[in-house]
Amino acid sequence: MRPYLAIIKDSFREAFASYVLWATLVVITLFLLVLLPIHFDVDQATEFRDGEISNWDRLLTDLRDAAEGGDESPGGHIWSMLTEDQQKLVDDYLDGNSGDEPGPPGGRRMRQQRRFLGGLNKLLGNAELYDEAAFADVEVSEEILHAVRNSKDGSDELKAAQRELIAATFPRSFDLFSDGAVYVGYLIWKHDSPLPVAPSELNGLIRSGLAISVSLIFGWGGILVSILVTSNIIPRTFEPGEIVLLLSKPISRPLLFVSRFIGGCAFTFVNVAYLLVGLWLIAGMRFGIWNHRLLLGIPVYVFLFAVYFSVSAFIGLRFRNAIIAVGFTIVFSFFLWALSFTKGIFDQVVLAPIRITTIVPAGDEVLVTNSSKETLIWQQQNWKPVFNESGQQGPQFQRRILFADSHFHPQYDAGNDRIVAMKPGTGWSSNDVIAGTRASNWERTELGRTPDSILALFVDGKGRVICVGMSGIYDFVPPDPEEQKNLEILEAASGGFWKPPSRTGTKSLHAEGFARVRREDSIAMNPATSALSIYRGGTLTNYPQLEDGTYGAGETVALQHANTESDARQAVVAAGNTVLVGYEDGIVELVGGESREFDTLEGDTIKSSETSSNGRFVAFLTHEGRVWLFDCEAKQPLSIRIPAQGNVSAIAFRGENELLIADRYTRVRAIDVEDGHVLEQFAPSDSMIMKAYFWVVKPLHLVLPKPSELNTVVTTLMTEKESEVLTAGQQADANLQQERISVDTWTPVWTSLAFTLFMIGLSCWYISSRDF
Amino acid sequence: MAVIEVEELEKQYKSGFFGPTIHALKGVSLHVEAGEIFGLLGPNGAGKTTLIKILLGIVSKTRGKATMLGEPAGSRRSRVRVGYLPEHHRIPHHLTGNTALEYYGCLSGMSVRAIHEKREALLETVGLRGRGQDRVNTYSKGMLQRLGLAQAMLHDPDLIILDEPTDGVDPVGRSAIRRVLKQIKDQGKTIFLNSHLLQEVELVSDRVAILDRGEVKLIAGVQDLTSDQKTYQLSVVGARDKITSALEGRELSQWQPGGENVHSFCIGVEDDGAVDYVVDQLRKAGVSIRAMSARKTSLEDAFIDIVEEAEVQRAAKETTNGKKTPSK
Repeated sequence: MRPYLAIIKDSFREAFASYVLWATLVVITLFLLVLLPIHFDVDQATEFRDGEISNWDRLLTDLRDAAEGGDESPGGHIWSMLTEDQQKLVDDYLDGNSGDEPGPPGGRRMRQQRRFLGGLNKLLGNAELYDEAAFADVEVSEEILHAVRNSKDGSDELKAAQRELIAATFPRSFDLFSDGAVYVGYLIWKHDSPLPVAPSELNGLIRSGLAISVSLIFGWGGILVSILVTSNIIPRTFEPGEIVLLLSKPISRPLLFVSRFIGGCAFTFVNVAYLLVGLWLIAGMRFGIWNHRLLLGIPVYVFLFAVYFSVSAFIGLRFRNAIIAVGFTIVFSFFLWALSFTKGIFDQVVLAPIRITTIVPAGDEVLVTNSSKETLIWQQQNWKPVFNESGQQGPQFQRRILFADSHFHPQYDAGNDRIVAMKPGTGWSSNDVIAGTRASNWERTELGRTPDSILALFVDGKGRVICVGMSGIYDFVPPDPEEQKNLEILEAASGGFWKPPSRTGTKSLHAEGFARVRREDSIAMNPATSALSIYRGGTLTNYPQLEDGTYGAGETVALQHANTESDARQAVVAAGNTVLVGYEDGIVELVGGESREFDTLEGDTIKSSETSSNGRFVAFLTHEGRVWLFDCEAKQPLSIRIPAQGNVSAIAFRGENELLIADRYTRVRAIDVEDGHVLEQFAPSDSMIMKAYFWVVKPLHLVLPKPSELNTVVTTLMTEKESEVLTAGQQADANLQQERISVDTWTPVWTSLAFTLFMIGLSCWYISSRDF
Repeated sequence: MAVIEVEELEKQYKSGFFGPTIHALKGVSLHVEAGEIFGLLGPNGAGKTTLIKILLGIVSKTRGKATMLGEPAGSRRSRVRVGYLPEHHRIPHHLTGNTALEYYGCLSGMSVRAIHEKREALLETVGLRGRGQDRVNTYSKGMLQRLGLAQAMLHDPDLIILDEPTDGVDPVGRSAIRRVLKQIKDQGKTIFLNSHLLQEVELVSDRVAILDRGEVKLIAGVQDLTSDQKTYQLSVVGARDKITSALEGRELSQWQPGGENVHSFCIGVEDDGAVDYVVDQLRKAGVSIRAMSARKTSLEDAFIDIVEEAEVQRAAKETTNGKKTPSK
């Protein structure tokens, strides 16, 4: 090993003999010195910040309601302290009036909230806000009471204490970040307003800031400088006068190259190590954040450099010319960027919108929906659009983003030979339900409007469309003849210009005391019994369907896995002949007398479930594209070989033992759940653009390194986020069943590593087979 | 025991992708014995450096056999015991004399400690005392040659291969290098020397091989090549016409007047009897003989004769081939 260590040592010697290295070290030193005087101060919070009021409607309603009871209650007292303008603002907000705020409703409400928050914050400094009698029943600490009674008018102590007091008065409407506020400063200067973060978030903010700065410095500029500086190392080593002397020594040629290659990384290593150790020390000593993971950025960035350097080294070896090596490496990096960009365009604009997300077996036909919320039917060896809204379709990728958070899962109603679904993109307080019959070639018609925001829609054994909303279970019924007549008159009077919102009524099917369902909860219907199972933040309730078609009072079942860590953990429920709950950590729990847990999904995040028509088989689909099958009779998982595991985008049962699986964006295959055989395939032939993707773009992207994506690795390492999961609509993961964009952190590392090793191997072969 | 054994060694390579095949070595055979200084001579393009590179494994052979120190030429085990100073070598400029020796010593498998122990004495031996701390980019070409020689000697190899070791070195430096080579030889080491400077080779080598266009033209001892008993140089006092008439019928050459009636010239003789005859004839004619000595042939003369003879033979062969070709 001694000779090879000598070569590596010589590379460090060479790096330190370089003026460029010292120049970059000086620049890094200056950068660290600039960062050094930044300080964050945590003081008492003296005002409410955006986001600390978690439920505006409830707060303002409570305030206005309290006002009607006079100023003896805390709410009434606060209301009395508000200015007339503020009170009018509350009225406008609650009544949906635009008031002084023109513009679209969404933006208007935000502006109204801000104005109210400003007024409320002004009140905090007013010593008269505290009235002993009015706030007598509010539970706060003695310390706060002491402060509100004794602090000076307008003082920070008073503001901080009254802020806590108001939050304690309306505990269900406030969610205070903390009792502290974060101020940023530089040397002796300190910013007047606090940062919009809680002290507990400061740590994460600094970590993210560090990750971003390091990523900016090394992601592009640093690597480019390193490539320029090191491009001459290999060509110079292989100049006739130097290589002949080296090769006369008792050393191996491949190891000579590998040692030189490792040594060539010395320049980058010294710079990255200096910067990251400097940042680590600053973060630790100045902010008390000893984030050791920051230091993991050193090998990652050296690796990122090594990816490019493997190309530069091979070209330098082949042509013995540093300029050609640099030129080719820069062209190569642009090519990689263009390839990554092209694949991104293909993925997001061309392919993701046509990816099948649900499968709807409709008798002897198969319908599917895709990410753009389009419904398609398999006809003449291709997917043809049906059941779609006429006009204003818009581009698919735009519809995909627009309706990303809409639940669109059509159900087949065998009794009426039609499909029914919630119309994507409809409101928060109610949903339009649409239907299309086979007889009308699945043309979309409006079935009705629900009285509530609907979370799931099913067709039960009686052929009824059952909607489960936030506040209950509903069924559609024919409209009241009197009301329908009035509506028709109005429609006629408008000359057909005005359309009534719904021609059907709804009927509640739930029992009294039905607990509210949240958007993140999961609902399933047993197709055999029409019983509903609802998982609500850690509890599972089964609602049997009674003979009269209504649902009985729910029976809450104890869950083993849900209670182990957090009641709020998310899960997907599947209702077959036995009920199963699949958790976000990949554990599936068999619920019932003999509760059991299955841990066979290796940590996948469960996305959805399906049940066969007889309730015997249950299938879970994960966000990682894998399917897990369970036989409810044998109470055992099924161990059949399922094709395309890891790439499945949608599943559905057809009949009692056929499972339909969608993969490769537009392909659906029917497999026998007993033995895994493929029974039927629905796969359109690839278009030219799909062929270009599958035969050129994707293979190239797979085998070539992805340096730009390696930045994600750094962010992951430094911020301790194992993976980034967003819905296509960029909202937080409100529901496990929501479509997600998983950022694959480690694949770029493995592919880049494989490519780098290939290039080093190629260089070793070249040097071994050549005369010098 | 032969330190280097080469049998019917051939090297062919393509000149460019579509270019012709070049025969750099055409069946070269030679042996270098332990403890001798062996000089390899030849005009440019003769294949000298190619032969050395094959011995060191830097270039692969096409055919034939080559061993070095009992091991296949080019093997790592053989290279452990060899020191090499290439022609036009380049030592990285960021190194100093000391760190260069440390670097190349480590590459030869030495420990840093052992290098440090030997370094000072070695630099003094090659005439670089006190310059070990200086960066090599401040060295003259001669100093670089001497540093190159030092790295070749550092790990105490059994065989040292030197390619133009005195190239760019001033006369004093050359003398110092010659002295070092003698010291190495006295230690029982073998030196394989490749140089254009024939006088240098002549001064230090025991045997030489002359290589021309990939073929060995001659392998002989330096003594055998440089002694010539058939030409004598005389310095005489007498009139020139008396001298020529006394030695009539003999070839006299290289006349050089040395003053009034003093002449210096060369005369060819067949044997010792002829020498006596010449002396008798001159004395009979009244010519005084001031000095008489057998003339010595330089290695350069021998080299040029051999190379020119080879050129003439080649030209004759080509002419013959050229005449034959039209008749085909």
